[in-house]
Amino acid sequence: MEKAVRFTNEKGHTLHGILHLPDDPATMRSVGMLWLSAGQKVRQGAWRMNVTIARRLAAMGIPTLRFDYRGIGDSEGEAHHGEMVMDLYGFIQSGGFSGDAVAAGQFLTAETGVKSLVLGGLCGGAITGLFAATALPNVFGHVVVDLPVTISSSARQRYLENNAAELLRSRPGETDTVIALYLKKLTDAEAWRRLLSGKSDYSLLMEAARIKSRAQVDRVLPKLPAQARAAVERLLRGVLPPVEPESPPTPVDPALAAQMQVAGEVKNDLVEEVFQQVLSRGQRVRFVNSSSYHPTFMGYFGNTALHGNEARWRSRGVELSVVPETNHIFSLEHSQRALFEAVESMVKQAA
Amino acid sequence: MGDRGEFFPCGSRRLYGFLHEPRATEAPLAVAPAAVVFVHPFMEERQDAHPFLRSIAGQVSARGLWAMRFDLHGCGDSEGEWEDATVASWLDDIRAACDFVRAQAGVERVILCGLRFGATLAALADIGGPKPPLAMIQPVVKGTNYSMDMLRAYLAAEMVLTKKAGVSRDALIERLRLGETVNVFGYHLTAAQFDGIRAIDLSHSLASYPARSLVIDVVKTPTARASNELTALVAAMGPGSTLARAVEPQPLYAEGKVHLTRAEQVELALLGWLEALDQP
Repeated sequence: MEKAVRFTNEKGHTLHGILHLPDDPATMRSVGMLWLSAGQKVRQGAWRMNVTIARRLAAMGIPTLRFDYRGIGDSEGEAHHGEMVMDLYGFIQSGGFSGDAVAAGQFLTAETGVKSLVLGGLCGGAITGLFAATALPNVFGHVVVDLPVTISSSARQRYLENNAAELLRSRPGETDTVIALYLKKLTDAEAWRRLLSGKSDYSLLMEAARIKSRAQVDRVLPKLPAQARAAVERLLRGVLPPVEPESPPTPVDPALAAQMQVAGEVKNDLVEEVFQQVLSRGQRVRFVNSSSYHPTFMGYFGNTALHGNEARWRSRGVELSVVPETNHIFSLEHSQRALFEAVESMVKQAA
Repeated sequence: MGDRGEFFPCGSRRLYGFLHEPRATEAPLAVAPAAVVFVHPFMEERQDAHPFLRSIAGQVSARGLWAMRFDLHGCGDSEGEWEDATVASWLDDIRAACDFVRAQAGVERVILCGLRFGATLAALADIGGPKPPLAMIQPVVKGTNYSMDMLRAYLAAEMVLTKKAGVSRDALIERLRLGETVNVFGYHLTAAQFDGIRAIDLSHSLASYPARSLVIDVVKTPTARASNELTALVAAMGPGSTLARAVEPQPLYAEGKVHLTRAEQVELALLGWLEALDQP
């Protein structure tokens, strides 16, 4: 059975949602699911994913609430009209909607009488759940699907585009980023106009090429005999002078890091912090990654936070699964099934 | 009772609707008392169009009319599964929504407004009595084109994921004929839906439309060319039909770089048309 419900957040906004209850009240379990929408999208999610998940859980006796955050969907509040979408993502990735999720968790608990909650969601919903869980006393665990581990900012993207030369001078290790920026501009008509009218910053591209070439030379030089190496160094001094040392090694694949940076994305340090807080409260975490997103997750979070030590993390209630050949919205049949299984297995543990 | 979301019956199913009560914040439209029922676009377009439809409904209610947004069978929060719905069941839903709003609002007069395929369904719905005034925002005129767009979406998604061209459109149609479904961004398109959509051609169905109507052509820049298809549709609908042009910086049914929740020119066009609806 589905009920249209409304409740208020800490700011007094009325939030609208749907509460899914078992058809037979006698079958209701003591665990509730708060399934959080991704962020700027409405509470049904892509392909009504959220509706389907909630209905399946209600059929298992798990009351499930999904709702619209403030200003989104049917809910009251600031609508963020005219903001860059990337900045709205950044707001969500910083826990901007966590107050609404806390209000929703309290409402679900009070309305149904459940003893504990599982929080879950895709992307912005996943991170909102982690933030909210630090303020809710009865969270058993999380289903965290394609957790955003970087943070978006249109200002950062604009800064990078307008200050690429400065970036290159101060951090030659970011050459891949500059080259990726130029590759991105290949599809931009305005960039072509600037190129053809001579207004492009060729020196920047030349500098990027110089650094890449020098890096290639530096790979070969140590293999040469000392005398030959010195001769080559003398020859190249004016053409390809040595570059500053690269940035410290990072667990992120350099090509991926360059792409992400061009998109205005950098590591979100809040993720690791909130993840540790959740674990310190004894909450379980089930990560589910799409194959298309998994490299980003590992590069910006998994490689450092999980250290690849699966057994150790399992003992602390953390699991990670990767769904092959899957896009970010899990729209294909096999990925839909994998998603349902992951959600239902966490709920079964809680119940 | 104020603005509210609630379920209402449609045969054995329940549909979710959101009612906006009239508010006297601005000068009421001459057409009041009346209710405007909004029909949403389909699949992922519904998600992206939601803020615009919410805003337009809010503007209509601020001018003294009832406004209702609702979800069709198998869409949004409404009951039922997408793959069980058909064009016929969606048309039944529109009638049920109109009956519900009439009962809730205590008004007889209902005006239909839809976006994209929602506009197409609104145009075809029988809501009892004479044909209602109809506002269509970027309607899908030819179902054949729209159904092919859906198959194209499947093929594009497959190519992005597998990095290679998959099956042909003809092969997908063959799958539908064999009783399989085609996954369009997670929605399982059925043969019944595909055939129902393909059979639609508004330029024939709406010829000499007997009530007032408005078609809004949404373009990105003031110098953009008018849609030939919509111009021809308005001509076919007859003298009671008006073509309006709204310049909006981003599409109303796809995510852009800026988070927009209002389509001001579309709102102006709709409110202006409503204001003049009963003028000779």
